Amino acid sequence: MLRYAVERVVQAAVIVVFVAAISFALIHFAPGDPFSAAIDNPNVSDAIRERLRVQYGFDRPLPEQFARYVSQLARGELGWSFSHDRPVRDVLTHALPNTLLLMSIALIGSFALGVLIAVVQVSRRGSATDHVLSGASLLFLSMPDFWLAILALLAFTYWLPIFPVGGAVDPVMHEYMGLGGRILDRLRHLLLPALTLTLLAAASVARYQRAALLDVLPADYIRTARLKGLTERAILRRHALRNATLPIISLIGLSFPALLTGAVFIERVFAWPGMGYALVNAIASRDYPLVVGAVIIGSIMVMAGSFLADMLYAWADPRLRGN
Amino acid sequence: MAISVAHPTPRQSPLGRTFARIIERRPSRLALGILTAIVLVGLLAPLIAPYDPAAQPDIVLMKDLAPSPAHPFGTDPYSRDVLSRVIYGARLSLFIGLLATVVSLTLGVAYGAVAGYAGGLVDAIMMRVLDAFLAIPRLLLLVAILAAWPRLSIGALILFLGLTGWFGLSRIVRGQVLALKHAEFVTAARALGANRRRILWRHLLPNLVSPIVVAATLGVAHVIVLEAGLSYLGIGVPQPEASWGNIIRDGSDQVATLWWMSLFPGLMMVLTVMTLNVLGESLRDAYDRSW
Amino acid sequence: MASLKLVALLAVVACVGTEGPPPKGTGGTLVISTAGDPDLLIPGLTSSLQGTQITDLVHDRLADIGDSLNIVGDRGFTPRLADSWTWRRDSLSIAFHIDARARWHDGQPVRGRDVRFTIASLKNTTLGAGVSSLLANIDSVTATDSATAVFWFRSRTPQQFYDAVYHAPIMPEHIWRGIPPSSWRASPKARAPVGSGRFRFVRWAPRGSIELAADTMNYHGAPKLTRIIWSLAPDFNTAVTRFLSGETDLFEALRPENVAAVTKLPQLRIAHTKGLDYSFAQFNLRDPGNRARPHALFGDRELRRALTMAVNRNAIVRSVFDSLALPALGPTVRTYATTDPNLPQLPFDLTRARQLLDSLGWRDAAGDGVRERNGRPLQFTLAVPGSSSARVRMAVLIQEQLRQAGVKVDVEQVDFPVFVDRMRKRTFDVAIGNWHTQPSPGGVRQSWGTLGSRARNGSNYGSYENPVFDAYVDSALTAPELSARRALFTKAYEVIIQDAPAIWLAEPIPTLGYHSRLQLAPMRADAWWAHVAEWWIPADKRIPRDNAPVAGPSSADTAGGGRKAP
Repeated sequence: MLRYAVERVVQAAVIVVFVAAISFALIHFAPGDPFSAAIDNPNVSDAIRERLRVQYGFDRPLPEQFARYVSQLARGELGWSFSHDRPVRDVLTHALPNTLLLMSIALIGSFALGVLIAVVQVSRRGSATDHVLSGASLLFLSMPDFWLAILALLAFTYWLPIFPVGGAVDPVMHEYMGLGGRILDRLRHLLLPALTLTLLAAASVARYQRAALLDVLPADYIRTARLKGLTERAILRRHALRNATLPIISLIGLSFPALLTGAVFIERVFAWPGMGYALVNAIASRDYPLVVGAVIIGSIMVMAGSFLADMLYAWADPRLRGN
Repeated sequence: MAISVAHPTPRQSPLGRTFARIIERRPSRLALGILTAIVLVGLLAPLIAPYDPAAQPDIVLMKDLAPSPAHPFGTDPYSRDVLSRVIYGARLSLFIGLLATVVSLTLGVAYGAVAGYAGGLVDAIMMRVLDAFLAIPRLLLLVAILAAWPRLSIGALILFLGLTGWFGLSRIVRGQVLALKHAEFVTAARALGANRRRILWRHLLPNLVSPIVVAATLGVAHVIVLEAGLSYLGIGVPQPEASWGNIIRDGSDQVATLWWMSLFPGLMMVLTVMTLNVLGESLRDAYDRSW
Repeated sequence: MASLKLVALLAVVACVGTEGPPPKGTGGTLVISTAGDPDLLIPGLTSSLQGTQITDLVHDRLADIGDSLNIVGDRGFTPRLADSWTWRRDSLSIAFHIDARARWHDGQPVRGRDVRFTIASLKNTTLGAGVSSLLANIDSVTATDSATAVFWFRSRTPQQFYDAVYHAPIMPEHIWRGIPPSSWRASPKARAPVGSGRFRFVRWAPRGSIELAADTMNYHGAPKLTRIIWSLAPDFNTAVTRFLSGETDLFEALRPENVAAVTKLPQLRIAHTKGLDYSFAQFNLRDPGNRARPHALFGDRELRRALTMAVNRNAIVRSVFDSLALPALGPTVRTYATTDPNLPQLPFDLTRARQLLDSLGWRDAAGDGVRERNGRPLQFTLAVPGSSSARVRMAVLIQEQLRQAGVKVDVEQVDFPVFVDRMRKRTFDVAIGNWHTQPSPGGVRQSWGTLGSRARNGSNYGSYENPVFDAYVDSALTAPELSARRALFTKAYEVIIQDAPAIWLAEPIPTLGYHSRLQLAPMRADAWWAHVAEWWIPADKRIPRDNAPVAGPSSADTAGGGRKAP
C-alpha cells in the first residue's frame, strides 16, 4: 500500500514537470510572445519587471529558462498577473477556495443524488420510472454546462427572480451584516451555481452506477440471497450496493476533470469568483501568466483527485490491500 | 476497462454486425433517425435555410425580433435569421466535430498501436507521456493553446480539437494490440509464416473497428460540446460564421431579452449530442455483447 | 417566498447599529452599479471611468468649471481649492491663493507646494500621464509661499485658465514624495488615494466594491450623502441587473434594450446628459509594418471616401443605439458651442461607392465577391475591443455592409489593453475607436492633427496629416470671439470630413438610470458626478443600507491627528 502510494506520488511529480514543460512550450512558441506585453506595460513597476527578468531569464538560453521556470513553479511562483496587478499565486489562492467549495458541494451532492437515482432505477428495472430517469440522466449528460447554467440563470434570476444574479456575496451590504446574515448571504449566492453543477455531475454518476449495479446483480451471492428469501430491496441495500462501491470510488477519481470543466463555465455564467472565472477573464484580457497558472493548478487538482481516489480504492479493495 | 478478445467470426464484418444490433433497439433506431435528419439538414443547409445566415436585411427594423412565423427562431442583434444560422451552425458544428474526430482517431490508433506493438521501454515511456496528457483537463489544455494563438482559423481550431482528443482511445488501442499480440490466432498466423504487417492488417484492424466506432461517435459528441464552449468563451469560431456556441455568445449579453438566441441553438445541440450518446452507448453494448 | 424572508432577515441584521437621524435634507448612501474594477486611483493617470469618478470626488481642483462648460477666460469658473487668483498684467502667469482652511484627509494642510508638485509630476514624461500633453502650455509652477502657487505659461491663449485648472486635481506632495514616478502605478498608494475633496476614500475590495465616505470636517462643508459605494460587477449584465433589482441606486451606461426594462419599473427614472464622446472607424494611413510608407490601401484618399460612402452610418447608429445616439458629425461633438450641427457629410451611396471602387481599379475579376487590384484582394482587418458590445456590433454591421460593396473585412475582437496597445503602436488596418473628449474642442490637435501624428506619444493613431486642417484648428483656438471660433472650426471639420481619415460613427447620448428615492442636483456634461455631494435621500425613502454605520476613521485619519472644524 505504502509502496503503491510512493510510486503514484513519484509518477504525479513527473507529470507535473511534464505539464510545466507543455505550458512553457506554449508560452515560448506562441506568436507574439504572451510575456512581451508585460515588458512595456506601463502599469508594471521596475521592481516587478526586474523580478520577471530574474524569474524567467528572458535573455538566457532556452534550457536555462526552462530550468528557472520549473524551479520557480516548485516554489509556488506562478508569475505576475497583469490584469490583477498581483502575483498569480495571490489571485489563485483567493479564487481557489470558492472553486473548491463549489466542486466539493457538487461532488457530494451529485454522488448522493446519482446513487439514489440508480438505486431507484434498478429496484424498478424496466418500469416507466426507470425509463424516465434514464432519459433525464441522458438529457443532463448531453447538456453543455454553460447552456444549462444560462437556462438556470434565465429562469431563476430573470423570469422568477428568487436568486441574486451573480457573485459570491452581496457586494455592498455584506460588509455590514452580522455573522448570521453573512452566512445566509453566502448561501443565497451559492445555491444556484452549486445546484447546476450538481445536476450536471449527477447525470453521469447515475448512469454509471446503474450499470454497475446491474453488473453485480446476477452474481452468485445475490442469487443465494434471493434464494434465502430476501426482498429485492434488501438485496440491493445489503449486497449489491456494497459491492458497487468500488466503481463509485473510481468514478470519483474520474469525475474531477468534468467537475472542473463544469466549474469553469458555471463560474463564468454566474460570475462566481473562483478559479474558472479568473481563467475566463484572463483569456479575455490576454493575461497569459494567469491562464497558464490556472491550467497548471487545475491539472494538479485533477491529479490530486485521481490520486486520492486511487488510494481510497486500494484501501477499500481487499485484493489490493493485501499487496 | 477490461476488453475481452476473441477471434472474429470470419464472414460477417464487425461493423455490419453491430449495425444490425443497433437497428434492433427502438431508442437507438430513433436516435439514428434523428441524427440522420440533423446531418441532412447540415448537408443541405443552403437549400433548407430560409435566409442567408450572414445577411443583415434591415439592421434597424428587423433586429432582435422574437420568434414569429417569418422567423421561427427570431432574429439576432444584426437582424440575421437565427433559424438559418442554427441550420448553418449544424453544418459547421458537425463538420468540426467530424474532422477533429478523424484527426484524433488517426493519432490515437497510431500512437496506441505503436506503443502496444513495440512494448517494453518504448511502451512504458509512451504510456507515461499519455498519463501526463490525460492529467490535463482537455478544456484547460485547449484554452491555454487558443489563448496563446489569437485569431485562429477554423482549420487550426479543428486541428487543436483533434490534437487534444486522442489520449483515451490510444490507451484502448494499445490494450487491444497487447492482448492480440499474444492471442493464439496471431501466434498461429505467425507460425504459418505470415509477415507482421499482414498480421496487423488482417487481424488487428477488424478487432479495432468496434472500439474505434464507439470512440468516434462519443468523440464527435464531445467535440461539438467543446467547440460550443470555446466559441461561447470567445476563442472558437470567429464572426460572421455561425456555430451553435457562437450564436449563443452573440445573445449572451442580453440573455434575458434575447432568450431565443440561447434556447434554440442549445436545444439543437442537446438533441445532436443526445443522439450521438445513445448511439455510442448502444454501439458499445452491442459490441460488448457480441463477444 | 423563501427569498422574501431572507431579504427581511438581512434587513433586520443590517439595521443593527443605526446612528441618530441626520439633519433634514441630507443623508443616504448612493450605490452605483458599474462593470469592472478601475485600473488605479491617481488623478491624471487613471484611464478608467470609475477611476476618474473616484479621484474627482476625493481630490479638488483649484477651481471648478461651470455647468455651461465655458472654457474661455476664468469667468465660467468657481473657486474650489483656491479661494482667489490674480492674473499678472501680461497674462503670462496666474497666482492662485490656496484656501487656508483646506486640509488633506490625513489632517495635513494643503499648500502651494502640493500644486507645484502635482503639475511637475503630471508633466514628467517618466510618469507617462495621459494629460501631460494637455499641460504643454504650462511652463512651470512656483510656490512663492505656503498658500500661493503661481502658474507660468508659455503663451497667451483664450483657454489658459482652463488648461491650468481642469486637467489636474491637486495631489498631496507629502504622500507621494520619495516614490520614484516609475513606481507610482504599482504603489499601494495608487489604490488608496488621499485628497482634500468632500468625500474621503474608505476601502477598495477588488472585484467587490469601492467605498467613499463623507468628509464631515471638509472646508467646503460636509456633503449631503453619507457615503458612496461603487458596486463592481464582473460584467455589464450583472451590473444592469443589480440596478434593476434595486440592489444599487444608479447605473450610468444604459443601453437601448435596458431603457425598456427601466421604464417598466415605476421606482426607476432615466436621465440624459450632454455627451462628450464620439466613435469612429479609423483608417491607418501608414503601413502598419513600416510607418515611413503609406498604407497599401488607406494611403489612398479616394479609397477611404469610397469605403465611407459604402457604409450606412445612420442605420448603424439606429441599430446599435436606437435613440440613444446621433450620427457623429466628425471629430467633434454637438455639446461644443463651436460645432455646427449641420456639417456637410459624405453621403451613404452604395452605387457611387461601387463606381468609385471600379474607377480606382478595384474590380471583382475572380467573381468571388471580393474586389482585387493587381492580384491584391480588397481585404483588411477591423480591430475592435471585445469589451465594448456597442463597438463589436458596429464592427459586424460594417463588415456586412462592406461585403455588399465587394470588400472583405475580418473583424478582430481584442481585449481593451491589447487594443490600446495596437493603437499606440499603430499596428492596425482599421480600428473602431472612441474619444471621450474634454470640454475644449482643442483636443483635435492631439487626436487628428499633425502634432498628434508625429509626437512620440501622440494620439493621432491613424497618422492623418493635413496642414490646412491644422491651420484652421490653430486659428480657431486663438480666436477670442465665439462666432469666429465656430466659423474656423467648421472650416477645419469640413476639410477632415472630405479627407475621410475615419468613418464617423456615433455620438452617444449618455443615459443613466437612477432610483426615484435619490434627490439629484444638476448634472454637468463632462461629469454627471460633479455635484453628487449635493445629492441626498429623504428620510422616508431610506432603506437599511442608508443607515448602516459609516466605517470608522481610517488609519490615515488617526495617524494625521485631530483636525479642526472649518
